Amino acid sequence: MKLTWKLTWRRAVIALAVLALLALAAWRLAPYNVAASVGHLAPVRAFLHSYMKNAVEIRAAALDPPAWFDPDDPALVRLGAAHYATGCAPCHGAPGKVRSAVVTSMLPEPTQLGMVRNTPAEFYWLARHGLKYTGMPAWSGRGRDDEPWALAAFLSRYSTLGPDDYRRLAHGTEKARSDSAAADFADMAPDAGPHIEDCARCHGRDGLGREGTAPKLAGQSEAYLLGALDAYARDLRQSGFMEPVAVRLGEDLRREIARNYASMKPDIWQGRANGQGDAARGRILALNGDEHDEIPSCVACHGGAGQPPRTAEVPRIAGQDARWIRIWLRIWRDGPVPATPGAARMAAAARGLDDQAIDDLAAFYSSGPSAAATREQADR
Amino acid sequence: MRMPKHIWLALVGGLAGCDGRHSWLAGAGAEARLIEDLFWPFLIGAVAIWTAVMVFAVIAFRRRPKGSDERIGRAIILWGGGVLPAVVVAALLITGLLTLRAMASRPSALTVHVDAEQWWWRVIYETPDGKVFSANEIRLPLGKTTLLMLTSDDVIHSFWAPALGGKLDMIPGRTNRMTLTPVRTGRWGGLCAEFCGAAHAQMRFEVVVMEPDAFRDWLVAESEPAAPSALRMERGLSLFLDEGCAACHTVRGTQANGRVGPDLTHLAARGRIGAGLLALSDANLRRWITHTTDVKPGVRMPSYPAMPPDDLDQITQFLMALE
Repeated sequence: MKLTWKLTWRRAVIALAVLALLALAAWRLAPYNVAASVGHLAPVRAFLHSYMKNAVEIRAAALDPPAWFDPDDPALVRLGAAHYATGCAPCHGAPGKVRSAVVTSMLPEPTQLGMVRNTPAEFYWLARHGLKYTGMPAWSGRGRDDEPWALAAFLSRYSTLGPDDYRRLAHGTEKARSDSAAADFADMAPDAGPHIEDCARCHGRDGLGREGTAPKLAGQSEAYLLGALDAYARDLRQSGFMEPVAVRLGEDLRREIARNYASMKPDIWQGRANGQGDAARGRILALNGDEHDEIPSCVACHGGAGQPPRTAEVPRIAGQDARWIRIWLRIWRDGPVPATPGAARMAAAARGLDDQAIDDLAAFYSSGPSAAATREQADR
Repeated sequence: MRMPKHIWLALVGGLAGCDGRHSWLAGAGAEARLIEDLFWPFLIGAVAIWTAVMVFAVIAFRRRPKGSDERIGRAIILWGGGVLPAVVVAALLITGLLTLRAMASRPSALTVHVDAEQWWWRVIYETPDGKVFSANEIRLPLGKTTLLMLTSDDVIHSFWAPALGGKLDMIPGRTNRMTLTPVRTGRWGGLCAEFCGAAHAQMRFEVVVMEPDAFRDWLVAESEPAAPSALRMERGLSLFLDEGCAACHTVRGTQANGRVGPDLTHLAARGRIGAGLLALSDANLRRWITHTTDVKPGVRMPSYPAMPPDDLDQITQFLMALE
């Protein structure tokens, strides 16, 4: 027997029309069930999961970790842990935490990361970009490509952590609140106490920061603190660490927290250097700027050690940690520049800085109370 | 034949360049006159040569070929196409170089450093008592030769005040010398004549030619700190410092000592703001402060769009008092 079948225009058009009708029917009648209660067919699930793994692996392989990234840097691990407690633990759980039944009913169920063996770059990619159709969000600080590396460092050792290790990393040595339920998304209690805990995880209970990954807040001006919190909450200032915390505070709590930190008056801010940069060169730059590299003077607005900032809207920098100064000078230079009204000024000021100048300025401003004398001498 | 309207407009626009602040035919400087003296012979010569070539071309196309043409043709090519251009070009080069030397080698009574920045001019007068800093406006004494030391802090710019003299590149790491000898008082226009980035077209300046006595008085005033009446405006000065202006600008007599932007000590004594862009006035200063990047796209100074109106009043009044 021989089948003869000739392709003609007429037949091709009819075939296409039938196909289009079938596609339309499939779209309208939706035979494949998208219900989370039903789950995927086993082969579909296997395909989707392996495709996702391939997609992450191939993109992460093309990533180049920044020169400063050290997965064993304890400060970075702690920063990652502190954000994990804010942003990840509610769904992914954490050592010693029970997950909400709401979360475990998701499809796919958020992975418990203790069993996951990813490279730091793969963890970074997942935290930075998220996954479509899974509920895994992208990094909420748009353009803050530096931040998710902290999570990459933390997650690289996550599988080795017990409940005490985790609590120590995420919350510091003091006792953490709410030991049981990790899912506290909708925690909008009028009491600022629990929220202060959110702040303290990175900024320290005394508001003096932990290892310079987050700035010192105790004694900073209220106007500046409130402005920054509002800017994070309104998405005018980018940070995947700060935005989730600031948004859920609400206006009144933001004001209360800003006032609270401003009223803490530590005697001194002891800046922590990071071993980079030349403080003497940084001092000259901060005082005079550089006419040829188009670098304005820093002290004209921010003051120096022993001299307060010019106005309350401008943050005090002297005594901050070199690490934090460096991060933010790079952001002001390379973006994402905040969209707040005064931001154009600082962006203009940072435009002329090269990496060396940033390190030098960080070294000078982190050189702590000792800088007070040098500044007075420099004033002639 | 009727010419389309826009061609007429273009011609009129072109002629407008022949008069006024930017015209090198204004004869406002001895150096510009030297250039003008070169220009007319060049123009007449060029017209004569062009006409002769056209006449030859018409004759050559109209003639029927003859046997003797080969020899005549070779002679024309040798003399008309080789010897004559060589002589003319050599003569032009020699007169051009002589003029250049005459323009650059005059003994000068005053030295002014002009340092081009993206996109403004730092102006420094050398006086026996030290340097006097100013910006975006160059004042020169009538009838005296001033030596300009031209350099740049970033990219290549070019200094050109057409009414007064030649045009000279300003090159980073190098100082080019140029003299100007103004022979007419007045305010003359100048501009950057080498593309130097986004705001190149808005990088202008004014040259103010003054009687020597008036110039001397002005230079003394320019060397002084800011006017006491301005320094007494505490609120305006304080706002000026609060907004961070001092990080880039100097106002001598206050703690503002920034060197990144133009010196503002005697801003209100200048004719224009924004590097020759807008006439100095209350309204223009306000516009400049609140809409800096709209007025001059690419400018390094940030805009202050959110400044409260009362603060803006105070700062503007303070700046307008800096005479």
